[in-house]
Amino acid sequence: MSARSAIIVVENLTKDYASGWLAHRRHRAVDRLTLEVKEGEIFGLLGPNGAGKTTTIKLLLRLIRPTSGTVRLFGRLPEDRLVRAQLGFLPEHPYLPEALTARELLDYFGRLFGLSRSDRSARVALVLHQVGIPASVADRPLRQLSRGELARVGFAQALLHNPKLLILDDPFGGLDPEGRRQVRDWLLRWREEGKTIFLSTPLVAEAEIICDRVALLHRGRLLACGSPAELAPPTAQGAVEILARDLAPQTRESLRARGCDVRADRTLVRICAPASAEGWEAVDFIRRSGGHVIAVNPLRSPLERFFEDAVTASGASPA
Amino acid sequence: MWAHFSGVRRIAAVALASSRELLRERILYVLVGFALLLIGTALLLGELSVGQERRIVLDVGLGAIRVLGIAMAIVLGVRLLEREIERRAIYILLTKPVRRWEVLLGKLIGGALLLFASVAAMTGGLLLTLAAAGRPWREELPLLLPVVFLFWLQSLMAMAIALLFSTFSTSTLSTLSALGLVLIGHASREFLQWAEVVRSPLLALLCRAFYYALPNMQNLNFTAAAVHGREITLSIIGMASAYVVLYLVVVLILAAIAFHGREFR
Ligand SMILES: Nc1ncnc2c1ncn2[C@@H]1O[C@H](COP(=O)(O)OP(=O)(O)O)[C@@H](O)[C@H]1O
Ligand SMILES: [Mg+2]
Repeated sequence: MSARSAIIVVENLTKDYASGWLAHRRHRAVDRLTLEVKEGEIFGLLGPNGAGKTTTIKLLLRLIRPTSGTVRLFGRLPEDRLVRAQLGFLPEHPYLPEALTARELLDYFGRLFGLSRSDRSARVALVLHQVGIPASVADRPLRQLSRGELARVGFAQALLHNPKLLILDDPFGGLDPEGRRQVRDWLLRWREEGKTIFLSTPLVAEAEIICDRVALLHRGRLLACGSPAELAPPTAQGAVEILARDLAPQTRESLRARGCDVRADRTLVRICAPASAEGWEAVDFIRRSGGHVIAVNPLRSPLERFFEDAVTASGASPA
Repeated sequence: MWAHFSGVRRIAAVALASSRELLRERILYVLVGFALLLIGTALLLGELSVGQERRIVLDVGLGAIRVLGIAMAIVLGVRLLEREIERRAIYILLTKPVRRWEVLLGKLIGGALLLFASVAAMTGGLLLTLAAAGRPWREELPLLLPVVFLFWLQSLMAMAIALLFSTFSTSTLSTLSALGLVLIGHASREFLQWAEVVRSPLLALLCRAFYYALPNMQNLNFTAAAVHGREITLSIIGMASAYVVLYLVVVLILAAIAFHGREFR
């Protein structure tokens, strides 16, 4: 397709975890995974909890050894220090040494990258500013920081040395919608700057917005890989959810008769229409009958639907 | 050349950060405070036994510095690494361009600096106590300083052992194992004596192996000499230092091998 070089190359990567007494039981967390991440793209590794995303990332970083298969970053082994010098990593939860302050921690890491004193103080100030950590927070021990602030410090340490590749394990984890929006903006800006980003997330809809390509992982297996548009072209087909008020009982009944799922509490009625065409008809109908429509939301994005279908298909025909 | 130099800088960075972290551990102050309390108590005991003040203050004070120095070494030695592994902060560190053995060495150096400061603080307490007991503390310095220096070396061995255990074990288990090894280390001479008397050559070999594997704590304890006013010669200090350095190198190599192979799941 494009002539851009591959930054991450994974071939037949497999990881078995041993468990139980004498480690006799084996559990395959990643199963013959093959994929390539190209320079300058945002690549999303998607899958529900337990799909094997974190295991894959730990294999990319050589925090664990593969049972079989290979990983190359920048054409080199992942433990190569030249690779590490180009790489920023954000773990699943921002695990950081709690006794240090953000500034001390970043200065420490800056030394590990061989930055001079003046480079360090400039870079530390810059990345703290970029992730929105004010000086008053930067000089407090990390154990006193809120979860959101810790997440920001996590991003700051990944960015510190201006790496070419960012590996982010669940960057949206534990963030509120505003926080997610901000992370989305950062990711897009870093791609503009030419960075390659490999991220994992269970949030398909979030990835659909920003990823150039995604891989769908389920029980350690790759179900599909490609751009969101290739995998699931946007259509008008998806189910929609309508929130409404002031619906007469007979209106609810006739909505049910049209094939909608209707649930009501004291004030709010939630109507699920099987597809958007029926949804808009339902909206017209509610208005004509004197009801008030508060919101209309797509229930599942195209990629979410694609993923669910792929999971169902893989369950129906075990490979 | 440049590569070696940058390695030194990374080791120094790890040492600085880990001594900073340990400096904020409350347990450090608890242990140092406890030692100072014990040393202060020696003053009271000394008052009760007329004519014996010096002996009692030195016995109790040096004992407190030694025991609490070793306790500190084990507790902090385990915290150096295992805490970071248990809390998974190690994930980020190990994805930085630093070698695993550099992390170990840096952490040990950071811990060693902190132990040095603690031993120095406790020794200061002992000197104050001597002064309070009306002893000419300046005259005691040539006797005391070598003894507490060797205590520091002892505590370094304990810390390295704690670090070694925490490369492959949990923190509780590491603390207990290191403590056990240090306690048996006080009796390591016995193993040498047994090696002479047992019949089976295999058993004798085993006894000798134990003798060399255990940290030889008793050989580094010169409390009695100091109390009796015997000076410790430079050659003894030199030999003891060489022994400790050799011991540390071997333990660090083992720790590096264990740490290198470890998975962080
Ligand atoms: N340290 C471990 N030991 C044994 N099994 C593990 C370990 N870590 C993860 N697993 C198992 O491997 C599978 C994949 O886990 P993980 O990679 O954490 O998934 P994800 O990040 O996609 O939620 C899960 O079934 C999980 O239970
Ligand atoms: Mg995960």
